[in-house]
Amino acid sequence: MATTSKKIQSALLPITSGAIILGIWYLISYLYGRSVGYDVQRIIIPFPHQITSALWSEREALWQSTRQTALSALIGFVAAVSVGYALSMLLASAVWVKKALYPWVLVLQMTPVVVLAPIFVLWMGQGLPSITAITFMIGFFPVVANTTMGLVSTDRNLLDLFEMSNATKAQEILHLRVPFAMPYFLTGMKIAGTLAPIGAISGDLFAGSSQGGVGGIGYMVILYNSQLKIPELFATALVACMLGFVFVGCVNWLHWYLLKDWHDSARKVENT
Amino acid sequence: MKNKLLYPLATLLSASLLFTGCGTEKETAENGLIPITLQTDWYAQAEHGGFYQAVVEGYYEEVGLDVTIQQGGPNAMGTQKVVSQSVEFGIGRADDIIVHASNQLPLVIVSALMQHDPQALLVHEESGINSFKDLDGRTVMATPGAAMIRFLEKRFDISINLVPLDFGMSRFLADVNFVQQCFITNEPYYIKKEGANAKTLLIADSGYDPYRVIFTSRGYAAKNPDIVKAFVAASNKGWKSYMAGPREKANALITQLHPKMTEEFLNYSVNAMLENHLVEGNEPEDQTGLIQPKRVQGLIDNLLEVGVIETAVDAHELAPTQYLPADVQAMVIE
Repeated sequence: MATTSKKIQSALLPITSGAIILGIWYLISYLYGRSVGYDVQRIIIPFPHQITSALWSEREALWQSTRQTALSALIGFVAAVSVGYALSMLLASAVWVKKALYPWVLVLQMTPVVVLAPIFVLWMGQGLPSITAITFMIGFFPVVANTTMGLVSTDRNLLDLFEMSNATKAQEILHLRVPFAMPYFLTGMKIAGTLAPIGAISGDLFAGSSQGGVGGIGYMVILYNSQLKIPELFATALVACMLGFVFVGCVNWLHWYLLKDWHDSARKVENT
Repeated sequence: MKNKLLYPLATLLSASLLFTGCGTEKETAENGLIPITLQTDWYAQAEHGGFYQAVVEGYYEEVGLDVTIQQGGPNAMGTQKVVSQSVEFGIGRADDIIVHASNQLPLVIVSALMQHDPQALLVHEESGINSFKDLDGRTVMATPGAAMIRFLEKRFDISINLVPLDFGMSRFLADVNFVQQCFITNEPYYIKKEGANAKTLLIADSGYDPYRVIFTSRGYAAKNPDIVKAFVAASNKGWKSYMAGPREKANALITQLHPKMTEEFLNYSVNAMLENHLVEGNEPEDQTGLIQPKRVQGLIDNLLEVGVIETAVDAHELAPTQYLPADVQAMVIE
């Protein structure tokens, strides 16, 4: 009985705080509108219902741009994870390889992607290739850093055990280092998953186009802002936020799915 | 329990009240001059020359104003700032202001800045583009949502793939099929320097010829008609003086604010403005600063006809001639 009421309480709290935030929002919009006029209020801090009605009237354009951004995020994410993983394997294969290459990976990471973006556009033109390249650049380093860390920090005792059993280098990598690095890799993947929608939207800001009538979310941001369609801009923010939740939710599910049967972090702990 | 709940709520509420309480009322400075801010659309350049001329020649002080020219850039957001009254005046194209006004934004055009807009499309000679119709299916780098591009698409029944303007020239130079929005007073200079063969399609030649204008918010104009009149008059004087020359002092100020503006480049821009009669116009009914209600109405009709705007805008309400200096006002044809 006590647990049910606790559950209700924990569900009620965010709903209540949400309602309060909404109330404060209405209050601010109302007061601001009273002082400067409601036609100005609409484009500075619109009422929440003005945002939802903009969301509804622009639903087609926003749905298309969300699909486009989701696609760039997905491609960039998959590329970041696979290239990142392959690079980590290379870096962990021998100490000298890591010493030779890792500083250059860092150099690439330290160069802000906003500086690289115009260069990508120059090389690959406006559109999907540049946007995914920007997404890739943002997502790939966490994968490399985490996976490499996992691959090189395998438990000494276990390595000794493999050596004593005369295991080959390939066996050691495949049966020990790779599984050991799995949680590290998946953590890197989770971070890349969080960054991918952000990367795709910022990529779209630089490299988006209106090809096919409507661009991605970043393009819509520029468009709505230049037309002063501010409720629509807020609606775009809402859509971008939802896309982020969906994307991260999927990645988190994958993380849990791959670890659920064997790793402590994902197993239901008994005796709570 | 009561305190536990009340305390955070009270904090939130007071914070929100504090937030809305921030007013932006400006007061007269100690020197008796009224502070005014003009938000331009770009970094200091010859296309803003008249305003700088009015500053260095003291025309604004003569009418009791202390004018700050806030330089723009890619994210100037002049319209937003004017509407929310965080700055008093902005500059832009008449057609964009009409579109905003038809979206219920309380803006008012108080004076023309140029009789013809320098906006053009920059194309390579090798591109095979000779008219606006040839733009069908092409990629054009321009301001997204700009009324001008939508007008071209509807008027010539063409479809343009728009990519947002990045204000650079490198992609144009790298690709002979690249088309981008430009000012005839500006980009062609750099293109020639780089040795490329480029030409311009002036938007005004498409039968669509918006003014470049000075605008303010409806609320500000209603409350301060005299300040608006003073600002318009002094700016008008500045522009006439800048175009007639000498303009060394104003140009020195522009170079100081934006070092990329060399003397050679400023001269190029001014010459382009003079040759094309952008500021003073080339028709007998044109004049620096003048807004002909008939022409504004024509522009509104154009935009309605092609469906860029859906609701009509009253030309007299959007662009009243009452703020113009008397000599300019005398030329208005009703």
